[in-house]
Amino acid sequence: MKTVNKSFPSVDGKGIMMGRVAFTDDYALQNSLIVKILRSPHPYAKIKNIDASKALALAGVECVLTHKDFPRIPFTRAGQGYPEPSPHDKFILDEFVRYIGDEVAVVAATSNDICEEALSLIDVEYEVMDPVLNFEEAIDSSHILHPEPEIHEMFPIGFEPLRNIAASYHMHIGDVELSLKESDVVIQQSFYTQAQQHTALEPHTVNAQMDYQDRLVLYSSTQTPFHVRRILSQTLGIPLSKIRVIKPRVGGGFGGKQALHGEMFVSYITYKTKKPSKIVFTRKEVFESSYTRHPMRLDIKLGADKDGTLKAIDCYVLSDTGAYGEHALTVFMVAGSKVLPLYNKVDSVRFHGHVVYTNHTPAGAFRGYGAIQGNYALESAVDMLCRKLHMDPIEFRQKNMMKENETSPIFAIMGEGTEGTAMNMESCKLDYCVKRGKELINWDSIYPHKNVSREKIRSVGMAIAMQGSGIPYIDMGSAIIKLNDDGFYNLLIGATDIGQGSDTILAQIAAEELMTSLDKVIVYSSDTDLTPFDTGAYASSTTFISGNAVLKAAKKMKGLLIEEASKVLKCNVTETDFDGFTFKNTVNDEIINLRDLSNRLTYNEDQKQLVADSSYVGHKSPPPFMAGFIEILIDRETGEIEIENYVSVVDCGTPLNPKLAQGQVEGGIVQGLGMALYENVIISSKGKNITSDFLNYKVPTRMEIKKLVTEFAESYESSGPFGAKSVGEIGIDTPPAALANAIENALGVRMTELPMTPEKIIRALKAKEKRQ
Amino acid sequence: MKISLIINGQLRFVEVEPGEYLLDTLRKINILSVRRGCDNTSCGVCTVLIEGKPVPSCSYLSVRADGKSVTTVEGISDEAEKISAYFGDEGAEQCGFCNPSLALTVYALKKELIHPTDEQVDQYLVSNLCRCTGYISQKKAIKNYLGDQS
Amino acid sequence: MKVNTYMLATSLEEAYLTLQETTENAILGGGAWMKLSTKKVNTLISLDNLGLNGIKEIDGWISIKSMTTLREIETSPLIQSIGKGVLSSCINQIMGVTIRNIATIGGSIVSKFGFSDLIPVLLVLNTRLVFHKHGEISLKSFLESKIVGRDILTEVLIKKCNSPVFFKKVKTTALDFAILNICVSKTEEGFKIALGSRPGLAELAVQSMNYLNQLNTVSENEINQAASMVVKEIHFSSNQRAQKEYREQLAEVYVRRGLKEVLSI
Ligand SMILES: Cc1cc2nc3c(=O)[nH]c(=O)nc-3n(C[C@H](O)[C@H](O)[C@H](O)COP(=O)(O)OP(=O)(O)OC[C@H]3O[C@@H](n4cnc5c(N)ncnc54)[C@H](O)[C@@H]3O)c2cc1C
Ligand code: FES
Ligand code: FES
Repeated sequence: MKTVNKSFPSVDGKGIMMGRVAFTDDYALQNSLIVKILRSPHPYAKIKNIDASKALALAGVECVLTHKDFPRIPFTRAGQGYPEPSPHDKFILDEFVRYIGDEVAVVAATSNDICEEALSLIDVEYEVMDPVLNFEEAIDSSHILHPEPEIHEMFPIGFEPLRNIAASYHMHIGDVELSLKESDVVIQQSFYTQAQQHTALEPHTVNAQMDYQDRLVLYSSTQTPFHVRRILSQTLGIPLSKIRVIKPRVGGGFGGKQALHGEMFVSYITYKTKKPSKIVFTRKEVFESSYTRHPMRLDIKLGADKDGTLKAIDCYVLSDTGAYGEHALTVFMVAGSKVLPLYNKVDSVRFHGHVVYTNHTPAGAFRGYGAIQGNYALESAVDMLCRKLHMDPIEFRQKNMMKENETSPIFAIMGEGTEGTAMNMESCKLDYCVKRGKELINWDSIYPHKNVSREKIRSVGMAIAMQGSGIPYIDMGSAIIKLNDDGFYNLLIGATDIGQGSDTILAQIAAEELMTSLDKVIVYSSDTDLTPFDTGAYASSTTFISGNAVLKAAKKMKGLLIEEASKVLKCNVTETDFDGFTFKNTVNDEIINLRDLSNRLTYNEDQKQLVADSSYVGHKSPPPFMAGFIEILIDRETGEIEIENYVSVVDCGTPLNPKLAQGQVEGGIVQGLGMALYENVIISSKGKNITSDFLNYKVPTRMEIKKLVTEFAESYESSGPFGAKSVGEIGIDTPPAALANAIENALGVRMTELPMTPEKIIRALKAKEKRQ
Repeated sequence: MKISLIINGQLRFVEVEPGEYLLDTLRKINILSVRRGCDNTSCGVCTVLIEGKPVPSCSYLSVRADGKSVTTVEGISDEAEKISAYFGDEGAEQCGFCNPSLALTVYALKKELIHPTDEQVDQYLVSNLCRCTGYISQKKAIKNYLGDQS
Repeated sequence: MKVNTYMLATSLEEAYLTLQETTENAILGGGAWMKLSTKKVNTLISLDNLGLNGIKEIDGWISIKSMTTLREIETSPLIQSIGKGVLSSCINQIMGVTIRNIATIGGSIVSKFGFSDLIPVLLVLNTRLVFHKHGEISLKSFLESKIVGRDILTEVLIKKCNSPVFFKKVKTTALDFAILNICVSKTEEGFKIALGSRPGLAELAVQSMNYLNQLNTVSENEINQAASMVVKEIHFSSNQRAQKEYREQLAEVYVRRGLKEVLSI
C-alpha cells in the first residue's frame, strides 16, 4: 500500500492554520442581517401573547417572527436517515416553550446591537406551567410535555407522548431471571451519567443568501448537509431544487451538529426578504439551546458462575431526551447494541427501557452515541463482579469477551431503531488489545494499587469497548471522480469533513486505488449542488461507507482509463498495463502517459470527459474494538486525581492514516476523560443550567493531559476499504469505566455517578467508613 | 471614534464604537483568522498579539489598541506555515478552529521564553483550548518546532 | 459593553473627579472582568496614560503600580524576593497567559472577588494599598470595611520577606476558579493562615494563628489542632463548585500540609 496506511498531513491543515477563509462565518456577506433568537426563561410555559410592536418600531429591525409565522408542521431536527427513528415532535416555533432556552421569537436586524435591543423590547406574556425536571419521575407525570395531537412517530418506536415517553424498547435472549437465579454470584447496581456538552469550539453557525438564480444558498456548520436540505424543504415548503447547502470547514461537531439549529430561521428570513442573513450561536446558546448527551440511569444485573463464566446480563435504561425526542430511541439502542455483544457467551441477555421527555435542554447525538453510557455501566459492573468473584478483571474479560470469528445474537436483533443485521466478527483483535495494553500500562506491577506516599496512591483500571461502522442498509455514501487534463482528478464526495480528516483519508483511498500521489486528487466535499449524496458524518460511517464508495468509484475510473488508453495503444484492455502514471501496451511496449492521455481526451481526439461514480450501502457494520487502560495518582485525603497515563490499543482494521486515526482515538479519550472527571452539568432547582459557559463547565485543558499512549492492533477487515473499519467514536467509550475501576482499585469505593469528582469520592469514602 | 492600528505591519484607520471589542473590529475589516469561540476569555480562538503579547481580542477594547501594533496569524504566515508542517507530521490538525490562534501564541511563546520546559510551554498555551486533538499530538508538534527553531 | 464615552484621563485627579460625577462612570483596569460583568458605562475612564505601570523596590517594600498586569508581576524578578516567589506561582494558576496580559492587579484587588487566588496570598503577605484620595490602608482593612469609597487604587505595597509561603489552589482543571484557596506562611512575625474561595472573600484564620503563635514549639499534634481550629473558626459554605463539608475537609488537609511545608516537617 502506497498511500493508505501512511500518515499524510491533512489536506486542509496548512491553509486553516494560516488563517485562510474557511469556516461558515468567514463566508457570511458583510451586509447580512443578524438573526437572534428570543429564548424562554421558563422550563415550561404557554405563550399567551407576544407583543413585538416596540421591537418592530426600532430602526434597523427587518422582522420579528413568532409561531404565527410558521406553518404548523411537526418535524425532527435530527439529521438521520429518512424516515427518521426520531419522533416528529417539534414545530419551528410553537406556542409552548419546553425548556429554558427554547425558542420564543426570532429577530432579524441590521446589526448585533439593534438585534439585541429588539430582543429586549419584545413583550411576552407567559402562562408558566409546572415542569418535569426529574427524569426518574417523568413517566406518567401529571405534567405532560407533548399533549399536541399533530405529533407522531414515523414508524413504531414505542412513542407514548401522553406518558412523557418519547421511545421505549424491550428485547431479551434466553431467560434472564432464570440465568440470574442459577448464577453463583450476582451483582446489581444503578449508574448515572450526565448531560455532557460537545463544546465544539466553533459555535453553531449558519448564513444564507439568494444567488443570482434566485435560489437559497446556505453555508452551514453542519454534519449533515443533505439532511439539512431535506428538512428545510419539508418544513418551510421551499422546493428542494431551490436550496443549496454548502458545508465549509466545520470547527468540530462530535454529534452536536448532526441536527438543524439555526438553519430554519436564516433560511426563512432570507427566502422571504431576499436579503442575506446569518446566525452565530453564543456560547451560552450552545450550552442551553443546542444539544447535550442523553443523561441516563442504567440498572445493571450480572450473574456469573464461581469459575468466572458470565451467564447473564440484565440492563434497564432510563434515558432523558429533554424537551424533544431527537435521537431518543437510537442513542438508547446503542447503549445496548454496541456494548452488550462484548460479552457474547452469556446464556441470556435482557435490554429494555424508556426514553422520557423532561423540561431540559434536548439531548441529541454525541460521539459514542449511547455506547459510552452503556460502557460505563457494564464495564464498571464487570469489575464489581470480579471483586465479588475474587477474580482478576483482565482474566475475566479474556475468558468472556468477544473473539475473532465469533458472533452475538444481539447483532441480528438490535439495529438503530429497527432490526439489526447478523454478522460474524471477521476482524476482532480484542485479545491482542487487552494483552498489549496490559503491558503498556505496566499492569502487573501496579494492579490494584501502589502507595506512593502518605497521601497519594497510584492505581490502574481498564475497560474494553466496541462501536460500529455505519448503519447497515440505511447509511449511503457516494463519490464521483473526474479526470482533468494534465492527469489529475477531482474527487467529489458528499461525506462531511468536520475536522476528523475524512477529506484526507478519502483522497488517500482514491489515490491508492488510482496508484497516484495524494496531490493529484483534489477533494471537494459536502455541497448539495455539486457533490453526490451522503448521509453525513455520524455513526462512525465515513471511512467505512463513504470510503467504500470512493474505492468503488476509483476502481471504475481505473477501468475507464485503461479502456481509453487501450484504444490509443491499439490493444485489448487486458493487454494494457497501468502504474498510475503510464499505460503500456504489454504486447509491443508502446506507452502513453496519463498526462498525455488526459490532454488528448480533453482537446485532441475522441474528446470526452471521464467521470466515474459509485455509491455504497453497508450490509454490515463491522465493529472496531479497543482496550483502554488508565493510570492515576489519587490523593486519599482530598480525592484529587492526576491522570498519569491513558493507554489505548485499538483494532480499527487498517488505519488508513495512522496519525489521523490516532488523533481520533486520543480526541475521544480526552472527551471521555472530561465526561468521567471534570464536565459537571448543574441544573438549578428551577431547571436552569448554571454551568453554561467555559468558566463553569470544565473541559480538559492541556495541563491535565500528560500522557496518552495509542497503538493499533494489526487487523484487516475484508469488507472495509483496504481493510479499514471506523475509528471516530470508539475512543470515547472506555474512560469513564476505566477511571471508575481505577478509583475502586485505589480506594475500594465504587463511583456510580458521572462525573466522578474528588468531592464525590471523598463523600463515598466517608460513607464507607461509616458503614464499617 | 477613529483609531489607528498597525495591523500586521500596516497602518490602518478604523472607525470604532467606544465599547467595541477588537475581535469585532478585526472581523469587520475582514481579518477573519480571529474567531469567536466563547466571548469571555476562556477558549483562546480570538487571540491576537498586541505589541507582541498574546491577548484575547474578544475582551480587549479596540480603543485601547489605538496606535498599537496588532498581529494576527496573517502577519506571521511564514511562521504559521512552518508550524503547520510540524502539526501535520504529528496528525495534530483536526478541525483547525483552534489553530491560527494557537500558532500565534506559540510564536509569541518562542519570542518570550528561552528554552522553556514542557510544563512552561503547556502553561503558556493553557488558555488555547482544543476539543478535537486530545492535546498530545499538538504538544509533540510544538516541542519539535521549538526544538528545531531554537 | 455599551460605552458612551471613552476618556483617556490626563491626571489622576481628573479621573477621580469623573468617577465621582455619576455611578454610571467607571474606571477601566484591564477590562477582562468588566467584559463579563458590566453591560453599560457612561464614561469609561482609562488610566492608560497615567504611568501607573511598573514594579519597584523601595526601602524593603515592593511597590506595584495598580495598572501593572498580572503577567508583568508573575514574570518580574523583584517579585521573587517575596515569599520565595509565591506571587508568581499563585498568579501562574490564574487562567492563561493571554488574560494575565490584560488583567491588572488594581482590578483584581478592588473587585474583592471571593474566588480571588491573589487576595489570600496578599493577605498573608501584609499588603498595603494606596488610593488616590483615601491614601494608604492595609489590604485587610480594605477588605473588611467600606471606608474606601469610589476611589482609585494607585499602588500596592508588599513587604519583602524571605520565608517560604505555602499556597494551594484546589481546582477542577487548570482554567478553573478555585474550589478553595489555602495560604500559609511563617515569618519572624509568626504564622499566618488565609483561606479564600470559601466561596466568600478570603479571610485570615486569626484564632488558629494566635494559637500557633503563642506556642514555643509546633509539632504534628499542634499542627493537627490548628488545622481543625481553622475549620471551626472560618465559615465555609456551599456553591456549585463544592459543598461546605468538602471545603472543610480540604481546609483541614491543606492547612495541615501547609504548616508542615513551611516548617519543613
Ligand atoms: C474569565 C476570567 C477568569 C478569571 N479567573 C480567575 C481566577 O481563577 N482566579 C483569580 O484570582 N482571578 C480570576 N479572574 C480575575 C482576574 O484575575 C482579574 O482579577 C480581573 O479580570 C480583574 O482585573 P481587570 O484588570 O480585568 O479589571 P477590570 O475588569 O478592568 O475591572 C474590575 C473592576 O475594578 C475596577 N477597577 C479596575 N482598576 C481599578 C483601579 N485602579 N482603581 C479602582 N477601581 C478599579 C473596575 O471599575 C471594575 O469595577 C478571572 C477573570 C476572568 C475574566
Ligand atoms: S472568544 Fe475570546 S477567548 Fe474565546
Ligand atoms: S483542532 Fe478542533 S479545536 Fe483544536
